[in-house]
Parts: sequence; structure tokens; C-alpha cells
Amino acid sequence: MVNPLWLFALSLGAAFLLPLVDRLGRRIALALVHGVTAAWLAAGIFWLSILLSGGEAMDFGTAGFMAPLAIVLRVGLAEAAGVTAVALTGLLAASSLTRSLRDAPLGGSMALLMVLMGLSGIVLTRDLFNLFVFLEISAIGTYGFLGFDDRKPALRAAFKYMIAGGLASSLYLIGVIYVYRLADTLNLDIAASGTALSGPAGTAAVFFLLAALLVELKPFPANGWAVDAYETAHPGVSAILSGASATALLLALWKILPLLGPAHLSLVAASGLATFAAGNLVGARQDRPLRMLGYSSVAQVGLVAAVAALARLSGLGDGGSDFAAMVAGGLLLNHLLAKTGLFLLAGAVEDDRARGPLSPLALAAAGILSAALVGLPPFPGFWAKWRLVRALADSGRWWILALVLGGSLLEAFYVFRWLGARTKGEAGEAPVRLGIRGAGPVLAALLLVAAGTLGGIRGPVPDLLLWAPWAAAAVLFLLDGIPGRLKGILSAAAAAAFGAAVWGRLDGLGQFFAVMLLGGGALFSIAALRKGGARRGLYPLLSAATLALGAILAARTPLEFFFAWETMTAASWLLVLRGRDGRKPALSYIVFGLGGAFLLMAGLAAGGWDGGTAAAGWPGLLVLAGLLVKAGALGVHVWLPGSYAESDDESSGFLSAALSKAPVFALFALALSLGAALPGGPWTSRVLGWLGLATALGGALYAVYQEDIKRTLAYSSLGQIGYILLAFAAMDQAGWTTSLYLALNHFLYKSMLFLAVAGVIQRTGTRNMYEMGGLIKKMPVSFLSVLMAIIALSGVPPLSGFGGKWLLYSTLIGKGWYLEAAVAFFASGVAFLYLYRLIHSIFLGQPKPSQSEVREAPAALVLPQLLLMAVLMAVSVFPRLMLDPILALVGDRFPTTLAFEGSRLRSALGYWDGTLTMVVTGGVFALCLAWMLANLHNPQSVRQFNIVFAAERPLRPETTHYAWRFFEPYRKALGFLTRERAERFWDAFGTGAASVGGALRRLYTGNGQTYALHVVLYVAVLYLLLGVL
Amino acid sequence: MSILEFVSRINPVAASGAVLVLVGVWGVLARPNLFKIAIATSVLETGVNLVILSTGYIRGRTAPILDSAADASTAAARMTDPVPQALVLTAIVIGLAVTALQLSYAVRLRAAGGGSSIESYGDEKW
Amino acid sequence: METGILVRVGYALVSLFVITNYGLLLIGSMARISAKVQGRVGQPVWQPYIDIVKSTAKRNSIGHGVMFYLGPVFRLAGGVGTYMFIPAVYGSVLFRNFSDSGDLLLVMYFIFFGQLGMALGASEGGHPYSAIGVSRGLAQMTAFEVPFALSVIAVAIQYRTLDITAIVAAQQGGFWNWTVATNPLAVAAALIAFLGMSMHNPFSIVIAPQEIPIGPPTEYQSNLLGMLQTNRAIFNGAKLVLYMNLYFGGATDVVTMVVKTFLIYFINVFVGQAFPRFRVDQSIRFFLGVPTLIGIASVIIAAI
Repeated sequence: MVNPLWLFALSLGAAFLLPLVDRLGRRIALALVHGVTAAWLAAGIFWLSILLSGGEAMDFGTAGFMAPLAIVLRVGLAEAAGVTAVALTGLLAASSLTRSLRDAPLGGSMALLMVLMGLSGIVLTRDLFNLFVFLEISAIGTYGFLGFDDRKPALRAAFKYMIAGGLASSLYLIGVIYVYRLADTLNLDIAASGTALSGPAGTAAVFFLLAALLVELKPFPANGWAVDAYETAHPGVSAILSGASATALLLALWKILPLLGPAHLSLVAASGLATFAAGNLVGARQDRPLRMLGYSSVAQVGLVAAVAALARLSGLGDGGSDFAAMVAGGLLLNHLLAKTGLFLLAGAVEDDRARGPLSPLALAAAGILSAALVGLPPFPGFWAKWRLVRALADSGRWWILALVLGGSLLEAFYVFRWLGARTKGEAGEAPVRLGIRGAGPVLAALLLVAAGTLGGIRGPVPDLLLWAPWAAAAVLFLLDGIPGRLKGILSAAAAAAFGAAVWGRLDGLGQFFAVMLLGGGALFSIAALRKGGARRGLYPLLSAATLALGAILAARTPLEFFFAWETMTAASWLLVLRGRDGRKPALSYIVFGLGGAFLLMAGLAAGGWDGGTAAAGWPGLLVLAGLLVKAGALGVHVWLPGSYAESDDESSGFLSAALSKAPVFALFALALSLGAALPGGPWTSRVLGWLGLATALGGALYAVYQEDIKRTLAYSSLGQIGYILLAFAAMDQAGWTTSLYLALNHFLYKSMLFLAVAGVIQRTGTRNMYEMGGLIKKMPVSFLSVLMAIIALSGVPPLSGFGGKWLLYSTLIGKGWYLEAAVAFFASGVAFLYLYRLIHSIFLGQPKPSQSEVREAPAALVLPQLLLMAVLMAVSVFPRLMLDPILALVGDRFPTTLAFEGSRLRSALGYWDGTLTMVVTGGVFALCLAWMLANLHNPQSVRQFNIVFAAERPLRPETTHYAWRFFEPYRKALGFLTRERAERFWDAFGTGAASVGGALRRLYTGNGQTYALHVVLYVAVLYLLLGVL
Repeated sequence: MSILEFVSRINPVAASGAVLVLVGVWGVLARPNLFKIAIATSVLETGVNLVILSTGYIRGRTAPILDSAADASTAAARMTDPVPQALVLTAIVIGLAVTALQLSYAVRLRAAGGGSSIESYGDEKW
Repeated sequence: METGILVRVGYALVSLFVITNYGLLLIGSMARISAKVQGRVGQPVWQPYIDIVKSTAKRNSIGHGVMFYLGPVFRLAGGVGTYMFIPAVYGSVLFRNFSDSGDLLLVMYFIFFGQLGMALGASEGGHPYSAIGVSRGLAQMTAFEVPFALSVIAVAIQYRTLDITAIVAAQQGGFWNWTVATNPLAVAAALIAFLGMSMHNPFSIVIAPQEIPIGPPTEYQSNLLGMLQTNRAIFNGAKLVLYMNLYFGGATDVVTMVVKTFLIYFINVFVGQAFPRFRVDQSIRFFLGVPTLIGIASVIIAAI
């Protein structure tokens, strides 16, 4: 192995030579700096390759001696990785630093060299005093580096940084000297192997060492100086501080862990967790991106430190150091790359004068980096977090688990808020061009993708089929330049191919849902062909979301399931974000989506899913709660209406008709894995039933008052999912049959509605129903489609929707849920209100002159609707087409109450013959039609305004079309039911969290002395706590 | 034990070091002037250095120099510990660098038209 | 039991003929009774026949579009269909209709078929009063369905079936077996709901019959109006028969049916003459108040 001393010599030599080399030109000087960094990187990679292929860790003595006589440098796996990380960050940052370094005095370049060398020294040395020296070298380098380009704010921050750094180094020196005094050595390994440090004096001595390192790791609340520096320094400097410096310091902490007793470790864990929570709370209040990233950075570092300490303290995750290395290392790697990339990207964007949207590549990089930071799959943080959550749940540390997940959610909130704002840019502004400054972020994103993918495929998710969503997204993204329609066909083909590949693996339930999920994805991919043009981003995301839905069906382990689930969440979130006004709804979509996913994660990780009974308790309930959030149960539905309304029209349909069935599938899978039972006993079923009912009623009531056509449909979806939940909760043969029947029916008619509405919106250019009217003559097929869909949705015979109603009431009354049945009846009555309003306001009433040129919707929308109409008609005439497979699916898990006799379905209470109903209705209808036609004398078509209107001609269609606030009396009577209590609750919740963050951030006064006081008090409090522990 | 005895057992170097440390911390926390903060940091470091030195001192032993008082074979028994002195040298050098840098930043801040009190550099906050 | 399909259709047509004529006479006589109460002479009992003939014989019919023409078709089909799914006379093959298509739930939901189609047809006319009437009607409908649904649930609990024939069968054997005797609360809730369903006072704001004509029929004339008038008779008959079956022991012959349904309908007229009119929001709150509580009580009683 290469002796690291050569590298130190190289760095120092280069630094001294720089002034000379600079005479030849700054470019050459910078090339030297980059060359040295590259040499470090090469050495790191070289060491890594040797060590990973089975090589032994090696110690390198100095001046011909080994410990205890001399300083020893060690190259082990952690050290090699650390050096690689430091050098890599340096090179990544170079992409954005180069221009500034070229213009600034030479000191900047020298400082860069020194910082990187100092950090590598911290990583490599095994000597406590030498560690101090390298800490100081990197600190002094950092002080210089912070102000290298003479930005005034950075100078200010650097001064504060120095005050805190001075305190920390004094602490460290005191600690070192007493450790030396007590243990008679400065070598870490020798000190750790003895017992000299185990007494009270030793504990205190080690405490000072630890306190100094902790302060350097920027703990809450002693981190204002660091955040100020992150905010004000050149983004490249911030990237190195946040990425490389944090890595080195964490490795230093890692190194002294053997010296620490349980009390010390508890302090590290507590401080780290507090920092994680507080950093994210305060971060959520930031509107300046770099400061926000600064808070995120300290929070992440706190988490990594806490994990390392917990692993050692209490044997988290089987106590192996392997666990700590994998989890803490994974989180660190994730943080390092993501934060480096984000600092560079955000810095470049902030520096740019343009305020418009980002270029696609930069946008993809920003998305990847943000997603990685938040711990979405397939990035390293995802795998690490899963193991962490698993270990925490296994050891019953629910509080820590809640804290970690809550903090992550907050982080997701503010990182994605920033990303959403960046994606859209400011309206009408010039697009941001990053040029070479984009290289660092893009490279970091690529590394994250590579690391995460490799880690996943070679680790817990080797099944390549589950990676198909990512592959599809990547391929379509690369092809994003080709015509949109081609991509749409590719996307539909991908769904079909995935379906074919996965079909054999699925059980009956999976196949049933595959029809809806993959079929829905293909359907709406086709529908997206309605518009030409590239439609950038739409198809990759649509395809990824579709295949992720398929992957959810195909998953076999909890982790695989969760992997696919989060993939689906992420892809669908971006679909929402893509909508024109999608920013705010997308944010609540992802926050609630992730909130649900985290509940799911906690439940899945808590284990017992391989047939044990453990899952039937809390784990199962957590999973259930997570699924309910995703299903949009009333109370946690606030993300749903906006998301469905603001996404692209085909995406809305996809979300509502197809994707909303994913939680339904998962509910069934959950119950089946527990032996066709719900977790938590019979009360769960009752509560779930009422929750479903409340959702059904709430969705219907809210839908009544909407003026926006898509919001109406969104609330309608909410209500329909409520019925599905209600029927599912009944937990008997009739209930499950009903639930599945309703799900498939909902897919059919909601697809028709959204397709028709997409056409209407495309043709009229508005979503407000009262601005439409009389479109029946212009768009007859769409009208017919909506007509059939609303008949089916409302449950009016003879279409298939009645089957759902019949099954539902038979289930509820048969089950003894009488009041539930009554409320369900009320809810489905309310559905009539919005359904009538929908079809009346759009297609009937007074046509608007401005819409006289409107044509029928494009073929891409009409053809799928015709197909769905045919299917709906077929299953209405022959209900067995749909019910036979469903009955077979439900099987004999429960006592049988439903059975077919010919075309007649019998329940315990009654019977229903769909075919005969259809025949009778058809016959009667034909009779009445014949009567009408036979007596129709001299029919005359009249013009629009030829109506009996109080003996005068109406003035304008706008004043004559009764559409706006259609059900005002209803609001007067029952408006108190729909006061958006959930919205207000979550708003208040958000305000509360924001107030906590706001209160916490008052600590950061901007005064360097206050920051110093924080440091002193922090250490004092830790010391007192140490006495207690 | 009497007060005198107690006082005589106090390591005078360590004690003065501790006093300097406290003075330094007080200065850092309580003196708003940039330059005074830099000086206070320096005082703090000096105090720490004295504390380091004090740990190497062993009552009744000779200086760690190989001469007539102690040769190589008896050095371990007769000499004070030389390592802290070596360490202090390094610490002093580093402290010097930090102080110099801090002062130079103070100068740059003042030269750019800022106030002399640290309170006037609190634009980055919350 | 198995009857040839053509025979069944024939029986159904006879049954339909009976109910149509009965419904028309019922409306006519009720109008006459109302007139007497108000101190007027009133129309002849056969006035509904005259109205239908007159409407149907109009020389012109004005149309606003396909859906406009289909509205009355839907409406009439809805009325006829509802009747077709109810066994009108217990034990009678002639009046069995097509009740084997489905149980009580089918009937309750098929009621909406005509209303929905009518509302759509009226909407195409473009007259704002039609839409206003529909919006009022639908809003009120959601409310009165609640006590009705509760009372139906109570009946279903009591007889452990949703099969109308079985419900009637369970009530045979004298007055004390009727639902009105065994669960009077359920009947009370259902009868209050019936007032709303019939759109008489105090729930007549939906069609506002006295002042401005409002509601779906606003734009209809000629034979289209005639169909609506025909439907009114059939639909009324169907609902009355349904009520009779559920709560008043059904009927074993046509005469009993006529007497019972006449009396049930009379309740409407009685209340309608005695009370003024609610606004829509008032009637919604009314139905969701006391009647719903009565309905809940009836369900609880039945469940216990």
C-alpha cells in the first residue's frame, strides 16, 4: 500500500511551491491543486480496492518508529473510505470553485490544499495529539478558506467560526493532556486497551476530548457559527465543510468511541438526536436555501453521530460494528454526496441572475440529490434508514424511531419545498443555465445513483424486476427529446411488458389488481397522446409510477414492498409537481405520502411478517395507519384534492383511478398476511368501518360544493375509496367481495370520467364548471361516457354500479352494521348532488358563445372511453363476468353468504339478478321510447334562447346557466359538516411545528459571543449530565 | 489539613493556567471588541498551555536534559516528563497562527467599514 | 312457478294497466278532496285523463335536443320499472311483475333512474328554473332518504330479509302482524319521509306548484308532458304499493290494495292541507332531525 506520508509531503510541498508555480499562471497552479487532490483520491481508491479484496489494514509509523514511540497512521477500511470521501468532495467542489479561485488571491488555493490535507490527517492518524494538530490544520485552513474570495458576510461568519473553534481546541487540548497524564500514552489503541481511563478522572479527561469533537460536529444549540458559515461562504466551501469536514470529524468521533464509557455514549446519542430534531425544525423555517441546507447538514451529522453511539452503547442491530459501519456509513455517504451536490447546485442557482426554471439535466440532478437527502429509494440513505428503523423497532426504541422519522419528514418538507420552487422557477423569468457549475451536482447525483443501485441490487433487493421503474424512468428521460407520442406508446408498452413478465409471479389478488394498476398506467399513457409535443418529464414519471405499482404487487419481502412503495410515492409526487400549479399540492402530497410511508416503514420494520403473530399487534396497526394516510381517509385526506386537481389531466386520472388502488391492495395483503384478519382485534374493524364511512360521506359532501370539475372528481374519489374501506372492514365474504367489486368498478367509471373531463378541459380551456354548459351537442361521446359513468357511480340500476350498492348494503345489514348502512345510504344520496351538477353544468344547460367552436375530444381520449363503455356495459349485463373471479379470489376464507344461482346472486338477505334487471329495464325503456316516438307530432328544434322565461328573452347564457353555487341551500343546511376541520387541524399542526422552529431559531442571534456562550453552556450542560448518568 | 498545607499542594503552574483560562473565557464571552476577543482567545490558549506544562512537572525531579544530573539509564526515574513540553511547543505555534488569523480578519472587517464591536456583525441569523 | 316469458310480459302489461288507471283516479280524487277542503268545487275526478289526452294530442312538440326528448322516456321508464320490480299483490301471479330481478334495494335505487334521466332531459332545455328545481329536489331527496333508509333497515332487521315478498309474507295474519303494529316508529319515520317523497306541502318548494312553475317539467309540453303526467300516476302507485308492502301488511287482492294505498296517500293530502311550506334548507334540517332520530330509534328497537 502507498504510505500516506508521501501524500502529506506532496500536499505540503505543493502548497509551498504554489507561489512559484503561480508565476507560470493560475491555471497551472490550480491544476497542481487538483492534481494533488486527485492523487489523494487515487490513493484512497487504491487502498479501498486492496482492503475490499481482502487486504489487511496497515499501520504506518513515522520517523522509523511505531507506537507508542511515534505517531502512527492507519489505513483501514474506514480510513480509506474517509480519505476517498474527502478527496472526492474536494474534486466535486472544484467544479464550482475553480473560477473563484482563479480570481481570488493565491491563499485560497493553498487553504484548499491545507483543508483537504488536514481532514485526511484527521482520518488517518491514530495519535490523539496528532489528531489535535490535524484538527487545527484543517481549522486554520477552513478559516482562511471561508474568506478567500473576500465576501463580506463570509468574513463575518469566519470570525464567529474562529471564536467557537478556539474554544473547541482549548477543550481538546485539556482533554488530551489529561488523557496523556492518566494513560501515559497518546496512542489511541494503547489508551483504549488499558483501564487507566475508567476512573472518574479518566471519565472527565475523555469528556473534554469528546466535548471538543462534539462541538466541532456542530451540535444543537452550539452551532450557530457553523450555520452562518454554511450560509455565507462560497458554496464550494460550504460543500467541503458539510461533506468532507463532517466526514472527517465523524471518523474522528468514531475513532475515539473505544475510549468512551456508556455515559459518554449516551451524551453523544442524546446530543445527536437533539441536533437532528432541532436542526430540522429550524430548517423548516428557512427561506434562504443555503442556510436551510446548513441546518439540514448539522441535523444529518447529528443523526449519524447518534447512530454510531447507539450502536456501540446498546448493541443496536445485533451490536456488530458492521451494523454501525453500514448504517452510519450509509447515512454519511448519502449525506456527503447529497449535501455536497446540493450546496453546489443551490449556490450556483443563487449566484445566477436568472430566476427561471432549471434545465432538465440540472433539474434531474436536483431531484436526485433532494430525494437522496430525504432517504428515498434507491439511494444509500434509503437502505441505511431501513436498517436503522428495523434495529430501532427490534430493540423497542419507539421514541427514537418516532424522532428519527419525524425529523426526516420535516427535512423532506423543506427540502422538497425548495425543490418545488426551483423546479418551477419564477414565472416569466429566464431559465437558469449552470454550465460547468452543474458538473459537480450532476456527478454527485450519478455517484448517488450508482452507490444506491449497487447497494440495493447486490444487497437486499436483487430482484431486477423491482428495478424496472427506475430503468423505465431513466430510459425515457434519456429519450425525452423524441416526440411525445412515441414515448407514450413506449410507456404503455413498458406497462404491458412488465405485466407480462410479472403475471406468472402474482397470485390471484395480485393479478386482479395488476389489471387495474398496470392497465390504468397503460390506459393513461395512451390518453396522454392527446397532445403532441415532447411533454418533457411526463412519460418517464408516468411509466415509473406505473411500473412501481406493478413492483408493489410483485414484492415478496417487507423491504421489497417498501422499496416499491416509496418508488411509487416519489414518482407520483413528481407527476403532481409537474402540473401547472402543482407546487403546493405536490408538497402536501409528498409530505403526507412520506408520512404514511414512514408509518408503514415502522410497522414493516417491526417485523413478524413471516407468518408470526407479532405483526398482528402494533406493527400491523402502524401499517394500517400508513395505508390509510395513502388512501386518504378523512382527516388525513388533505393532500388529495389539490393533488388530483392540479396535476396534468391524464395524471389525475391515473392517480385517482389506478394509483388509489395501491393502498387497497396493500390492505388486502396486510389482512391476508395476518390470516384474513385485521391487526388489533375486532375494534379495528369497527373503527376502520366508521372511518371509511366518514370518508365516504365527507368526500361526497365536499364534492357537492366544488366549482372546479377536477376537485369535484377528486373528492368523489375520496368518497369512493371510503366505501371500499368500509366494505373491506366488514371482514367477511360479502364485505371483501363488495370491496373488490367497488374497486374495479371505481377504476372503470373514474377512468371514464377523468378521460372525458380531460377532453373537456382541453377543448374549453377551463376547469370551472360554471364556465361551461351545453357541450352535449359538441362532445356527444364524452357526454355519453360521463352519463354512463355517473349512472354507474351513483349506483342506479341497471349499470354495474348498482351491484356495488346492493353488495354494500347486503354486507352491512347482514353484518349488523345498521347505522353504518344508513349513513352509507345518505352518503350515496349526496353523491347524486355532485354527479348531477357535474353533468348538468358541463354538458347541459346554456351553451356559451365563446365555446361555439369546441369539438369532440381527441381520439386518444375518445377511443379508451369507448372501450371502457363497452366493458362497463358488458359487466352490467353479465355481472358474473366480474363477480365470478372476485368470489373465487375471496374464496372460502370466510363463511359463504353470497352465491350465484344462474344469473341471480343471493345473499343472506335478498337477491339480485343483474341480467334480468337489464332486460326488464331495456324492455320498459324501449316501450316508453316507442310511446314517445309514436306520439311525437311535428317535432321542432328551437334555438338556444327559445324558452319560456318569464315572458322575455334571457339576456345572456352566462346569466341564464344555473351552475354557480348550485347547491347553496344545501350549504346553508349542512355546511357545518364541511368546514375543512382536517385542513385547519393540519394547518394548526404545521403552525405549531413552525412556531417551535421559530422559537428555537431565536437562539441563533447572529452574535458571535452568543454563539460562544452556547458552546460554553453546551459543554457545561453535557458535563452536568455526565455526572447524572 | 491546614489551609497552608492545602495551598502548598496546589500546583502553581496549573492554578495560574486555570485562572488564565477563566480570564480568557470571560474575555471571549464578555468583551465585544473584535481585537479584545482575539486577545482573550490568546489568553485562553496561554492558560491551556500552562495547564499542559503543569502535567509534565514532577516535584523534586530534574529537567529532562541528559547531563550530569541524569543519564540515559536513570532518566526515567529522575527527570520530569518531557512530552508535555514538546506538545506545548506545537500548541503555541498553532495558537500563534490562529491569533494572527483572527487579528487579520478583525482588521479586514474593520477596514471594510464594519464596527469594532462583534455585535455589529450579526446579519446572518435565525 | 315457471311461466313462459310472453305470458309474464302479458301479465305485467295487465298489471301496469291497472296501476296506471288507479294512479290517475287517485290523483284526480285527491285533487278534488283538496279543493273541497279549500272550499272550491274542484276538478272532475277524471281530469288527469283529460290532461293526458290533451297533451298528447298537441299538434307541435318543441325540442331542445336528444336528451330533452329522452328525459320523459327515462322518467316514464323509471316509474314503470319501479313498479315492475315490486310484487303488487301478495300471492298473485298476475301482479307478481318482475320482482324476481331483485329485492328491496333494487326498488329503492331504481326510483332514482327516472329522476336522474328526467333531470338530465330537463337540463338540456336550458331553462334555469328546471335546474333550480332539480337542485332543490335532489337536496331534499338526500335528506328524506335518511329516515326512509333507517326504517327500511329496521324492517330488514325485523324480518331478516330484503325480499319484498318475504316481508309481506311475514306480515300476514291480521293487523297485529303488520309492521305498523310491530314497529310503529319505523313506520312513522317512513311516512314522514313519504311526505318529502311526494313533494306535497310542506315539502313542495321543489316544484313550487302554485306560483312560478319550477322544476324539471318547466320546459315540457305536448306528448312529452303527457308522458310525465302518466308517469306521475304510475310512480305514485308504485311507491304506495311499496309502502303498503313494507308497513301495512301488503295486499292479497286488488281491492285491499286499492283501499290501503288510498288511505296511505290520504295522509299526504291531510298533512299537505294543514301545513305551510318549508324552505329547502329548512326541510333538509327537518328530515335530518326528529324523523332521523325516530328512524334510529326504530333500528335500535328492531335490533334489540
